[in-house]
Amino acid sequence: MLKVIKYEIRRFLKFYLILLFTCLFFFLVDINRHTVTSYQYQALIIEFITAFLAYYLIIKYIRDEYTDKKYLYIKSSLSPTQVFVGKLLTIIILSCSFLFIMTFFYNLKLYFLYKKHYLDFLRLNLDYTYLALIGREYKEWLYPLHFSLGIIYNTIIFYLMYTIYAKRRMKRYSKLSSIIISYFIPAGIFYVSNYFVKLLDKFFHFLDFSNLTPRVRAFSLREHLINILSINSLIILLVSLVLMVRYITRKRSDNQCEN
Amino acid sequence: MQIDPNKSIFIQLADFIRFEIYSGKRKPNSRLESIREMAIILEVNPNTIKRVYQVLEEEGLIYCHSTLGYFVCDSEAKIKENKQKYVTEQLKSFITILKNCNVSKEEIKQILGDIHGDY
Amino acid sequence: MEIIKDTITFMYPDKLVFNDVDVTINKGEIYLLIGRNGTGKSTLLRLLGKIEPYKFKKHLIAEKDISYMPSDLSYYPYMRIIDLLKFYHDTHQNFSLEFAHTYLEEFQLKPNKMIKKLSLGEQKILNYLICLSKEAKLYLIDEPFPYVDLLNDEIFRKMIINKYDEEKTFIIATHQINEFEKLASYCLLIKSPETIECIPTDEIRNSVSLSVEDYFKEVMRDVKGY
Repeated sequence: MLKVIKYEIRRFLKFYLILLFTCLFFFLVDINRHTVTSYQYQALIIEFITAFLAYYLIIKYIRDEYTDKKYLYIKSSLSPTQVFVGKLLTIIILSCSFLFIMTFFYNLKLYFLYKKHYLDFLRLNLDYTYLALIGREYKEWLYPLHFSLGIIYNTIIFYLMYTIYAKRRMKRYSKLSSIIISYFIPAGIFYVSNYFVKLLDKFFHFLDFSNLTPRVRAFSLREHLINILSINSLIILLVSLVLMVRYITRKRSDNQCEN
Repeated sequence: MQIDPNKSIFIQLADFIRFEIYSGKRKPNSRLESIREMAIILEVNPNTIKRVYQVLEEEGLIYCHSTLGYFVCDSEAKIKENKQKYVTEQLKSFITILKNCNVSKEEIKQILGDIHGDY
Repeated sequence: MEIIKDTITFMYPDKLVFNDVDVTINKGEIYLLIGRNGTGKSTLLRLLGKIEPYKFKKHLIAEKDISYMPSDLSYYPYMRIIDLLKFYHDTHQNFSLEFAHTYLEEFQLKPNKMIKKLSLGEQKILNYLICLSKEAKLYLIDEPFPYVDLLNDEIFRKMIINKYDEEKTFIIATHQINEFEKLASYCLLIKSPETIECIPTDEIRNSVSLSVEDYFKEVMRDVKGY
């Protein structure tokens, strides 16, 4: 599994570093403290790019299954599950490390502002900018962790959906049934995990987010999961739409057999 | 050796090695190439060569040493005997052709003399 | 000794590829798999290699003892030749780096060259090299010859002979029959979805005194339906 991670990270290292350094460069250069919105948007952009990175990697891996790259791990001494988990971990490591590095430098920038121009810092109004940790309680520092948890959750669910779909297609089930099944299993997982979060709220009071500021409560883990589901269902809808369009418009080939 | 893809490789190969032994190119008791070496030189299937060697061994033309590989038979008498047998057989089939074509002895002598002159 | 024996029925969603064909593969033989375009040569190879999911009644080769060469080389864009070899050495069992390196020299490939900058022929060579560097019992090779020059063809054949022993079985699917027919002991001819003929190559030469290539042309000219 570690071998898979090693080779997969090397595969994306160039892309990752270019993305990271471009973002860092632009974010660090942009230090005009009078443009309030740039500070707010930067946090948002970091979130977006992290999500983009995760989804880009997933799409890359799914695309691999339809090109010759699928033969790389065939007949290897690693089991398919190990390869799968290795790829999943690669996605998580890359996107989360991106998030943490960017958050660190973003906050470093804020910290200088906080120290040197305190009034400007207050003027920024970062209440709804969740990645800004400077000037917050330590409890609230959990938020980037929540965000990365969200990404991990999303990644796993999305990859799982694809795997279920591909597995069923391999066993020659019809496309429609595969789509439905690949939708229902993650949905089941969602409801179980939602229930699990409710239980956590109930039995572990120290994790109860209502103790925190309204800012964080507005974005509790449970709400986050609901967000994820809505994103998921949107993606599923899009994917199934694309597949349906392909299914409807597909031509019969001439050598189609009778039975 | 040139292999003709339209004919059985087995027969071509067996004939090739026989000729080399009969003509004295391969001395008695000299070592034959191993199956793998032979296969690489001629680029043919190793199994075919193995079969050829087995047939030649049954004929007594070559013998197998358990560790050193295949060798040409050590008695010249044996080779000669085999050679005579082989040539007689070929000549017999040749004569049947002549008989079928109804060629007289004089004509044969003439043809043979012509061909011989060419060599 | 038979290692694979089954009656195969296999279809893609829109095409019937094999309909009740008997396939028998013996141990220690070199097979030449031939057939016209789109008759299922690659599919048969993938079935035999257990890449396409299919339940054989008799298939004695373990998953790790199969070496499959797809018709195109797969690699990651950042890789140099040596990286790819290392990758296979790390992730595949019984992959011999020494074998790969000796033949890299013979093919005059530089280990530090980027793979994406190799020509088509060089990629084929590398693909073939990787397939044969793996110590396996069943080698499935899909179209090794196109783009490869004549001298390298010769090395290809020599590599197979070098690798060959009685435990190993080779199945080679190709359109360049004449390149390979001297080496093959059997010829698997896909005639139609219902018949796959398995004929010893020497028998073809003996009985009809044609080379396998000519025999193939002769036979397939009469078969209609593709």
